[in-house]
Amino acid sequence: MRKLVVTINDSAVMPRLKSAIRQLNGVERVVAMREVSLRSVPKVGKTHQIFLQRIDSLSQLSDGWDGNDSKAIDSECIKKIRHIITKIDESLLKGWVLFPESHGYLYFDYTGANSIAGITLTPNKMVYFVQKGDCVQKNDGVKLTSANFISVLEQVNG
Amino acid sequence: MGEEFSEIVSSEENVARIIFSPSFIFGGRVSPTAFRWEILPSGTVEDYISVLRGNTSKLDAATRFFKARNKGDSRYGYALLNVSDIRNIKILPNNNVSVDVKSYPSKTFPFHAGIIADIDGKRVTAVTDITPEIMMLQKRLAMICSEIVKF
Repeated sequence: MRKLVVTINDSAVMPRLKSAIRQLNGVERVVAMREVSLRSVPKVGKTHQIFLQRIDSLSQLSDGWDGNDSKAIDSECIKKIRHIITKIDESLLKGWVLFPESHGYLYFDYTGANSIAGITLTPNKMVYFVQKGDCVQKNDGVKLTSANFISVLEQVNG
Repeated sequence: MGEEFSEIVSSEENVARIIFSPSFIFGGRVSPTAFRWEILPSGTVEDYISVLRGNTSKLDAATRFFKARNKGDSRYGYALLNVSDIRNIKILPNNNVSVDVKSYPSKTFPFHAGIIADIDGKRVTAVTDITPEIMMLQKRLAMICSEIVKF
């Protein structure tokens, strides 16, 4: 069996095209698929690698790393952020630095020319602020997802 | 140490936040999370961020005896902050955070002090939930560090 891929840029053509192909002898089935943009899945680049190495380094901290009450970085936090980082366009990571937080969380820190920002990542949620000039955006508990995390980075760079 | 410290911390003074973990320094920055309220081994919940008063030579002499907190970990150093800069911190948009530095001397450390913060009139302690306002205050503290002195 062989497959033929046809790319169209006008979805209105689809019904007639499917119908025409089905009428040909030897056609087993016709399936419509959305194209996955290669640009939406960034390659793991140098900046990604720096962050991944930093995450690995912070994952080595054990309980008590900054005094009696400090906890090792939560493994779920590590797992989620490793997954999220590689989905982010590297340009959005410029100016951000990753630090440990004593409750076992991770803290993303940003300093720019006229803006500052911080994101605390817990296993389930993120707390953040973005200050650009005198304008402040903040949230004390939004679900930790790739989309929400990228949205905050875009607020900083947008 | 032999030096007398006034009960009132002058705005002219510098204070030092000891940075125990090297992981708090990265990319030429000190982590905002290095400025934290701690729960002491005794169970005491701190309602201030612990700092030390004194000039660099006094701090060097005093901190020489500090031990690493973690086996195998190295001590990093201390971050210097001006008290006036701390007291002048403003948190946007409402400036609902007031910050001060007060003396908390002990027998061992007569030069011990604390950065206290009230948000909407409520004192922040080591068991206060993380909020954007607390993070903004920690970020400001990290930004006003005039110097990071390595041990």
